[in-house]
Amino acid sequence: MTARGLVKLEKVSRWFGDVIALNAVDLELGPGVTGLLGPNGAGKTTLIRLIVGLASPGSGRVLLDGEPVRNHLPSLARIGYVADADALYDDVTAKRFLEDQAVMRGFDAAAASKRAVEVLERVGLPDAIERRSGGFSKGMRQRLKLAQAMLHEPDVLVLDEPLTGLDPVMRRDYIRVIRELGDEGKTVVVSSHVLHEIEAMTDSIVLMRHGQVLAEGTVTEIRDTLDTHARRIRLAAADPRAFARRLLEEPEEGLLVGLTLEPEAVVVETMHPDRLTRFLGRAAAAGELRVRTIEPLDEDLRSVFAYLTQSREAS
Amino acid sequence: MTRPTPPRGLAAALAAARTTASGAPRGRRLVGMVLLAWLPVLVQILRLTLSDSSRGAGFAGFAQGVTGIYLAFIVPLTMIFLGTAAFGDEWASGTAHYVVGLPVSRAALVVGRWFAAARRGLLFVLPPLLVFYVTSLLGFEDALTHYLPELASVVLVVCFLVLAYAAVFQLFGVFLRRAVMTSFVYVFLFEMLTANLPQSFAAFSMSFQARNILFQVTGMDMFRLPTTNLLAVEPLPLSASIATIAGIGAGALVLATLALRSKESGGEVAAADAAST
Repeated sequence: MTARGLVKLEKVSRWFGDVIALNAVDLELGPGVTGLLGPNGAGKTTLIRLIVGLASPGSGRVLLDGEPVRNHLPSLARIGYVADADALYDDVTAKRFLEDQAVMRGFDAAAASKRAVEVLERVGLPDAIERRSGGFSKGMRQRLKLAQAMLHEPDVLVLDEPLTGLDPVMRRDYIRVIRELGDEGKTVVVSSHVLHEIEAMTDSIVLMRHGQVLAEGTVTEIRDTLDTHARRIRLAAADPRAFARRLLEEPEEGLLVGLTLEPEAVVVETMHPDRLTRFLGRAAAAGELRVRTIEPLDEDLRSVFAYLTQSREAS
Repeated sequence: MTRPTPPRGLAAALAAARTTASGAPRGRRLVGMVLLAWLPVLVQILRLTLSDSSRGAGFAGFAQGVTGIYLAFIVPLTMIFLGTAAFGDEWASGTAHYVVGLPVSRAALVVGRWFAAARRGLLFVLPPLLVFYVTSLLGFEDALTHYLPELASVVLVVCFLVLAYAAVFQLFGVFLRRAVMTSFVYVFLFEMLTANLPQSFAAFSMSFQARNILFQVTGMDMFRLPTTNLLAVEPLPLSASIATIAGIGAGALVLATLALRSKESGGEVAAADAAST
């Protein structure tokens, strides 16, 4: 059975004059939170505008559960969108803004009012209901934009750089709401160029650069595809020098391609982390080595992104 | 929560009209528009105050004010700001995605916004027009009631013209980057220059057609177009003038709907469009 809220891009390209913003992108985004990650100019916003139907692809198709999105009202009814632009109707109150949006989405006046209050409470703005958004702080504006996007219980929620300008407490609350929405089975797409923001929300990512998808999947899955890069692992040991000596005695090819001594640990570079783990297990069982902790150093997004970028540029 | 079904057809258009948060003039623009609409009244009051006469300019003065000031200047200029702002303000402020992202037909959005702009236009134009009527006929016995049928004709024609201009300038707001400037050029060309050319050219002017409707309905020479007098040509039939204004307005609404369907919003497009008005 096909999951509800499945966004599919088929060979989607988009040009702005001579500049290609998206280049033959094939992508499927399903329920749960997916992080859309890439540097500025990678094509994230263009991709998002295509997903929410605000722009047309130059070629290819953008589908929501098999239906087109652009100018297709049933699809638009199922999408919520938080734009990166800090744009709100500054002269109307938060409640009025949401009520208007709700009425245009089919709520009657009483239900629109009730729903507006509900979502404002959910995003943590219960005290600002009757205030004009022109007087809101950046964080409050971001939360009001999220409330607007959640108003109609969309199946697909697309958030473009939603954490920009939020202080740490607001950021934490915002991330919590996003994770909750993902746990509720909604397809949530969050773009950011800040790696740790995405890491805090989800493990499922799409990495973009120069209008192309560099990689997609979990961070570990993507890291596993990078078999040309040695993994860096920190092994904490009581006697790092003796530990290093024992490792260097190991003749297996590729098991050890680099080694750095630290005061209380050894950082090894290996092409075969699984074999290294087995070796450590055997050595520990034989009493030859004692490892306190094993810490992978390059399975974070930053490392994966750097490796992917290097690989693509080298090729 | 069950997601409700979005409104359709007339319900969607009415919802769009009712919930239009943008497009309303504010600040200096509001003050300027109020001053513009009330200027003939202020002049009338000033004239009455400075002169010893306690009588207004009479119905002829009112008719002159309607044709020369309200139809030719005040209505089109007021509607430039209200019509272009119906969507233009959204492109400029970056809030367009709140509108075009709605699951409502583009035609309903266009009709709703058009209706909202026209309603605002009437609120700006009609009260001063009625006061202008009263001040013009001040001191003339029974004139206020005597000319009520003509006043009703003027009000209906102004309403008709407001609806048509709202459609045209709304189209400019959807379609063009510098919508206000283009609208001024349009008014200058079509309502100020062309309207005073011979009838075959002037027929393109909506204020010319509006004045012709007034002449045909009331039969009063003071509404007769000066060019028809000068060139001794028969004025256009009433139906032709009504059809021309209605056709221009309807055409503008259709084009605005098509433009809205193809228009893109958000991100760099919104930024690029920020200079639209």
